[in-house]
Amino acid sequence: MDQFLQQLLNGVTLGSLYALIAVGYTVVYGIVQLINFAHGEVFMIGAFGSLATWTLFFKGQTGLWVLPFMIIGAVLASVAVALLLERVAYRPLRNAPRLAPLITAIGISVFLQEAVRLFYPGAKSALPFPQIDLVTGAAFQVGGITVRRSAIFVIGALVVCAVLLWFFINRTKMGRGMLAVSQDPDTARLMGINVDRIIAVAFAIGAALAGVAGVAQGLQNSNIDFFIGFMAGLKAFTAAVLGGIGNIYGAVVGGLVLGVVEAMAVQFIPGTFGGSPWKDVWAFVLLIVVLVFRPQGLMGARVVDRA
Amino acid sequence: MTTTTHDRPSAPAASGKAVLEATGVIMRFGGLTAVNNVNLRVNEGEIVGLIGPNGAGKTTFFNCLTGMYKPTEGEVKFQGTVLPPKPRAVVQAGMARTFQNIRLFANMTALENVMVGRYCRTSAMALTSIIRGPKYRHEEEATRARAQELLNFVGLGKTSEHLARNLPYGDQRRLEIARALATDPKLILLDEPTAGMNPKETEEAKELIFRIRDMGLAVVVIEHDMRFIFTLCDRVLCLVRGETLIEGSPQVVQSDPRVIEAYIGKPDDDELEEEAAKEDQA
Amino acid sequence: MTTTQSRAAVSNPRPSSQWLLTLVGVVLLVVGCLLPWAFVPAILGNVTVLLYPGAMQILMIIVGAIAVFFLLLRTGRFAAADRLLDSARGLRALSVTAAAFMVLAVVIIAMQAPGLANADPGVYVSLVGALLMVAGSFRMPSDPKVDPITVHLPSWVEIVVIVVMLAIALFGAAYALGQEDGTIFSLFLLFLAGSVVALARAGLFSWIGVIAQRNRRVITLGAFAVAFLFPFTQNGSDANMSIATQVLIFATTALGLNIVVGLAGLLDLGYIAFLGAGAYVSAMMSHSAFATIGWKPPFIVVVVIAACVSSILGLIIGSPTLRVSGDYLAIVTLAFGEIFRLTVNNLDGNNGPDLTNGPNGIPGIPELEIGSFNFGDTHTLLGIPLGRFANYYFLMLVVAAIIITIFTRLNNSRIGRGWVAIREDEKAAEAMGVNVFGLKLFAFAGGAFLAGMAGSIKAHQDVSVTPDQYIFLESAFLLAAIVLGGMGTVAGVLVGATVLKLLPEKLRFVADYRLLTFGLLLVLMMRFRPEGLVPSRRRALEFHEDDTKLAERIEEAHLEGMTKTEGRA
Repeated sequence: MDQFLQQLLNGVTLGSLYALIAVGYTVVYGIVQLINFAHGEVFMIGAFGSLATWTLFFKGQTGLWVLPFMIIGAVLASVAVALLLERVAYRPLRNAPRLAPLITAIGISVFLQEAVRLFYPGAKSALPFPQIDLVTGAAFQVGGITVRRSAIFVIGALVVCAVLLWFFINRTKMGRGMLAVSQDPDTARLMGINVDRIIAVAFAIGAALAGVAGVAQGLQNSNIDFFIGFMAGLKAFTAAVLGGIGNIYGAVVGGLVLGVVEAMAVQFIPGTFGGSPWKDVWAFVLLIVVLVFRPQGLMGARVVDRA
Repeated sequence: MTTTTHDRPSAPAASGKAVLEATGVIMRFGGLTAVNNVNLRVNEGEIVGLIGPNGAGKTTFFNCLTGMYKPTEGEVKFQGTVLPPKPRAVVQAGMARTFQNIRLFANMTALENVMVGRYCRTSAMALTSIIRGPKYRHEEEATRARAQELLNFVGLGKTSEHLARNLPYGDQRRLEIARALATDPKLILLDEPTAGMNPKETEEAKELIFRIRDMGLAVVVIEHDMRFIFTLCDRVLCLVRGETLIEGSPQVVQSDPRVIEAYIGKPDDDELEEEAAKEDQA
Repeated sequence: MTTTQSRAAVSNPRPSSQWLLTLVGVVLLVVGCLLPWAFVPAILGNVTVLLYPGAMQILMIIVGAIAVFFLLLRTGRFAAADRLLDSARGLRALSVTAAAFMVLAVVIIAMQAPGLANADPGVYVSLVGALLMVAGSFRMPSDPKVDPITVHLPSWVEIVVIVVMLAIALFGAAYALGQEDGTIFSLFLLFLAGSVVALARAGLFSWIGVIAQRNRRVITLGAFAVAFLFPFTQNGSDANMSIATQVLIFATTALGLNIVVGLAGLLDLGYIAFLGAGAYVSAMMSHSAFATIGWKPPFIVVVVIAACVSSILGLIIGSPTLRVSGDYLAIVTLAFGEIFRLTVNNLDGNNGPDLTNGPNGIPGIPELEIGSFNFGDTHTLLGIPLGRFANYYFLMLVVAAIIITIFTRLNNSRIGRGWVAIREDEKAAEAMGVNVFGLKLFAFAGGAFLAGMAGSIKAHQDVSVTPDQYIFLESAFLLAAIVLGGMGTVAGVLVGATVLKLLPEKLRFVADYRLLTFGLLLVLMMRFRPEGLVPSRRRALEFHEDDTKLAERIEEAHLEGMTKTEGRA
């Protein structure tokens, strides 16, 4: 039982991270039906943004008060990159065949990884992420299970972000504009909504959450490297699909489910095919199975399948 | 096997043998019933018209007939057998269609478009295509010849090497018909074949449909142009809000006050809604 | 003596000032090349000898010669060629190339000599000449030219043009590969790119393209002859043959992928897994001490098994096409590729059965042996030694020939038409009786089959297989070769594969920036030339749906081609 609860907690922690990134895929897809394949890299940029903020301004500091600045640094970095991407690479291709933006995204992905690897000092190998008081450090023992402090941060970050997101979408003019554009961009344009701006906002929101996820990843794993975006991006995409791509709360649910499935697979798949070397395989098998048998995802979403 | 029979039926009057029999077809998208309990019987060598205001469910009904949709209820029998709801099986059985909004393969030439129509009547598979023995070459030659013949038939013989997207609108519609004919159908369904045509082109289209009928094919036509449909068809079915309003000879339908009311009264443009509902369904 | 042309009439009696200026520039450029460029012999080959130009100087002399050719065109005496080629635009590109080349040469001398003190006057003379050319050519008026598709030449002229082009290609490739010095190689590259651009700007390539279109068979055979002759130019040196073999394996795999992406229009991001599957099967059945399967059939059997295993995987990965398409399908294939890599990485006996030796892979795969022919030995043919890599090169050439045949024949057949129809409008294709699912599945399985075949040879060529050879980035590279070269064309993929594999091998000093440039390249290609360098006409149209002019031009070219072939038949 303890083992089950422990894995459940691990799963939820991992899943919260996936969920934070997955929202980015799903928000953008919901509005422009584009799989922003480079989103994993935006997450990676966020992690490096927070590290850079710390290194530049707070080097040596470990106080909790540094954390908000690091988060802001991460969010600024990832939002800036995402907006740049949208403007420079995706917007000109909005009416191109579907292949074009996808290939562009792959190019951007590789470009961003390499840019960080080459130009961020020391990024050719993994870089240690700063330790922050209260958020990192010795784990708690609750009953038989170990609760890492960073896990609390990750889950908390997801909760706060989800609440803010809900508020933004349902209570602000911009949020309602987003809903309108996702329903019917042409009509929304006729109604005087600035569709370009809405799309940019969608990218920005996704990027902001990915930035937060970047900080969370750093705290959780205590180091980051230029390649973290690839796997995380793929997993988060899986989560988005699992929840029903285009459905924002679906992404959150999908992320949590994926995290838990992975954690449970490590623990409970018997024989030599269990264990952590196989957990990624199981995650991708899940992705394929969902896409083939339930492409609208668990939560169900408006699936617009345009080849 | 690769050529249609050219024996002409004696007269426009139907021989009485049904090619297509749709009974009690109902199509629902979520809460919306797009087609409600429609019956249609098409006899050999007959031209049947399908009319109705926008959003009456004509195209949806077409899609039910051709296997694009699986009707929620009711059955569609083609030559006495119920076909699986798969467009390919339907074409294979001998029912071909055109589209309301032209769906040609725009970047292929006219000839290639028609040759694609021959796909289901030819058999060259990968290995044959790579080795290219005499049998393969013979089949390719026959495909090409048949496609050219059909282009001549619809009056596009001279433009066979032009790209479909460069053809004028009227020619594109005729090309779609040629492509459909290439599948050797027994029944051809034309979705608004004269939309956007001028009177002269419309007259030519009518001529073409008569010639198709004379080849021994049954024809079902969706159309808005009343004069066109009443001079063309042997029988007309009027749909309103997914239901059969009236069915009968052109004279009968033409003089029915309800038909006029349906058109002039209040044409409801709920086609958008229908589209949305379809998307949800898919 | 046709002086009917307006511009010819203007420039004929008295050359214009800009014409003269350019001519002076060309003369200076060439004279500079005959003078020494530097005091130190170790730089840029050797450019220190008076009246004995080094290789780099010869390049500039060639540029000068082309410029003179363009200048002669402008005198109006060669009306036939003048109608075809826009000499002004060509000259501009040429002068910019010369100027860039000379500036770079000066920089290299300054950095390596070191110091500008070691530069000789010759380099400055040439530099000034190049700048004068720029000044002159940019003031030249350029005028619209006849569309090359309407020009007909005697067919022997066309064939001669093709042969000359191929000979230049062979010589150029051999020369470029022979350069060890990065600076010389990049200067050569600049020269090559510049001349190509200049000739393209002048309209020569659209003309050559038309010729190539008309004489496809000649050009295919010629290209094969060139590829076949290449090892004989290497004098047994393995260094270049190893690169050439790598390029060929890469190109062959990319051709297989082009069936899936270019013809069937399905984006496959996990294609490298099929190559990997083939390589692993081949390795597991080889005589390596680490091979995990006891059965050692002859290689031909192994190839067939490897290809079949790959194509079964292709069927599995293709089966979701029944339900998903577009971006989703791309992600499914990507996930599949990752599953392959992770699985191969895991199957070491501790996690699942021991099939692949996990991360260590299977090393020590012996040389291929077909009959009594050992691919590791050096054989001598016509007095020219052909080493290990040359052997594999020839084998891959055969495989490439097979794949190219399959590719072109499928493209131009019932199946090919079905694929185009699916790409254009899947619903309509289905409604016209095209077996959409079957054709997609076939594309996956067929593409995988070919990759498996190539993989089984690659395993022996590489001597070892490891999971990190088959990562996503490699799939992306293959895709990039297609995107860069042109979807749906053979020539395009060959160009794309060569560029992507050859440049990083040769430009070692920028090796670190390889992936960065690669990523950028993908983005820029999609933005500015999504159809690739050598596009298929149909693909070009698909990427430019709104371009009616292009559609009309392509149609014209097509009609032109039809009448031409009919006339010959």
